[in-house]
Amino acid sequence: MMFIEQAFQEQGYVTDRSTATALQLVMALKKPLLVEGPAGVGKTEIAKVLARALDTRLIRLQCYEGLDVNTALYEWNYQKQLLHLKLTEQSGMTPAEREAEIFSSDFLFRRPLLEAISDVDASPVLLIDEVDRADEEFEAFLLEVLAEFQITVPELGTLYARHRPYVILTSNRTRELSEALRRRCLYHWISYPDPEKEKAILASRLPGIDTRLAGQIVNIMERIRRMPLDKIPGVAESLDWAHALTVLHQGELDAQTVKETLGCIAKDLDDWKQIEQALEEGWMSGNV
Amino acid sequence: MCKVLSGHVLRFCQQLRQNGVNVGPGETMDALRALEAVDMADERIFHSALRLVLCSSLEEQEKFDRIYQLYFHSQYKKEDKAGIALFSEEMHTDDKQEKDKRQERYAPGSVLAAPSNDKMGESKGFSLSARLALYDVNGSATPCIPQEKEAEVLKSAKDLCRQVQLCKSRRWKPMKHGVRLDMRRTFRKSVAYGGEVLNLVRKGKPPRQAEFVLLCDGSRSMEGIAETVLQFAWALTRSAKRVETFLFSTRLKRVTGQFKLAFGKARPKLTVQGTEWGGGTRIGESLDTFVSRYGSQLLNPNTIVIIASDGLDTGAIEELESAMRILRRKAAGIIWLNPLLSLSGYLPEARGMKTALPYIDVFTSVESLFTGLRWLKPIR
Repeated sequence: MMFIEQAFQEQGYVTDRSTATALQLVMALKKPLLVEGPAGVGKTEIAKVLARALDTRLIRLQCYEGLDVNTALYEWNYQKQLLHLKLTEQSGMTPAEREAEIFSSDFLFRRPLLEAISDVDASPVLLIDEVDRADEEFEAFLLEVLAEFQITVPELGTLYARHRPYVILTSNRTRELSEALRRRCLYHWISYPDPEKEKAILASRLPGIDTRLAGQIVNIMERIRRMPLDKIPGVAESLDWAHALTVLHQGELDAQTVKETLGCIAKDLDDWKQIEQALEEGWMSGNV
Repeated sequence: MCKVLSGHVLRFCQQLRQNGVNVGPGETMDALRALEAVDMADERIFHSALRLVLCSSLEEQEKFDRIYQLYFHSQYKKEDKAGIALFSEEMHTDDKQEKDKRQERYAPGSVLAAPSNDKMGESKGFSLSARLALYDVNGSATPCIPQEKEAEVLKSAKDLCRQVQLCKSRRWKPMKHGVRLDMRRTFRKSVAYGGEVLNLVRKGKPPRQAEFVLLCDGSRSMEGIAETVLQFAWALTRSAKRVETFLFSTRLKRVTGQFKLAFGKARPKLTVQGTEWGGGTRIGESLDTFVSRYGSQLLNPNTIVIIASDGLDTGAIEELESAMRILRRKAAGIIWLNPLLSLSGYLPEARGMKTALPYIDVFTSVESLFTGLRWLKPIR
């Protein structure tokens, strides 16, 4: 238990018990982990840090609408195959030999999913990012791969994973994922961190930061997150903001400074106006 | 693992199942395996390990936490109190005491929350009786979808889908006049000619398909017209790739699932409550609920929002305005069907309608559902 928390701490990622438990179970049960939560709370970061902590490879599959099997799994390098056929036309090889040659792994583009199951040394971390953006058909295909960890390439035969990858899926909930995929995975929800945790995150990522400033940032962020905004700022925004303030040598926050650096946290004109209005109403002066 | 503990975990899983959490034997086994892998001495770890394995969504997690609290932290532990009794007992006392406050009790966050109505009839036990009781309080309604003018409505739904032009998707499909060479197919075809490339196959990006969100006002003033709109919703569901249908009167309800349950040409059987059908009108509040609860999932630049209402709002006008603004920004366009438009001399002077008007792309009468909706604006 402590191992993961400690390893994450060393990598500068402040984690809580339930996240650590989740990762421990990923390793013990060999099941994929589905992480959901609002944008900017460090979902993708989990996989990256896990790979660093275990000192293994991170393979990332970014999902998008229209992602197909050829981009996710494998594709033959057709140009190279054609060229090879032309070049070996006069070599006197039998057709069978030539065929065997062009359908060898030299002519194969390995895409992330194939890459993940063909690692020979150790289990890599496979990050399937924003799986909700891919189509439902792709999700069905993913189920098959995640259940068996084997991939069939007709020309090469079935490839089995020698080391099962640790699979982390992330989703922003733009689309409901299918029940089948959910049930294949361990489910973990990450929400915005509580003030204490956020302070720890700031301190660990920006070691030079003033404790008082960090406290102020965390307080304001907590309040902003309670406002009915369109794009609620996440931890990534807190970090950006803290970084900006340290670069600007601001040791303390007042309404004016917040207004000047609002671009770090408000990513929408309406949100911007709303926060500004709140500032003008003296919403933070009395409490910070 | 000791027998007592595994017995408890089994019973706990049973308890979850009875309360609508989807826990099968596979999950139960995983739960036992998970407990072997973690340090059970720490209760927080015990709790989160079980939760990781047994839940598959945020909603289930909330349910899980309540049942966990009841099962492991209250005096109800003996088998005779296990099962439905554990919950239905409380249900009874409640029944006698606070009949009026019942609705609040079903709000999410309460131990006795009835599962969402989309999963009707799936779970048995206390939840069913709770739901029945809820119906007694509010009265249920079954809007009937008319059969007349079916061909016209189907045609106009198809026309609408065809008219909406969206920009291209990112997917590659083989196309005759595509912009790129599809090497894979070209190569496969060349095999027939001994590796000689004779036919070139091209690929391109097909246009994306529009998605629709239909919000139908089911209030008293829309009587007779709302049914036509539902008929159109049914026709649209058959024509377009993705259609989400909502009913509202004073409260919003998603009925997409009920539409999808109908096979082929069959009409869906809708069952809704008084707050969604035949009540007063709170457009602003309902649209606001839609935007905040479903907006991030259902609204994107491919979505066309169709609102059918007479605009006679009794709720707060600010809510309507902010909801319309967000709809306008997030969706591709807004069509507003107003039945009053077919009356001669009607002017959109009502408070709600006047507020919403600047955000609307197409403002038309309900009759156009038979004669064909015209969508003129090209979309990004």
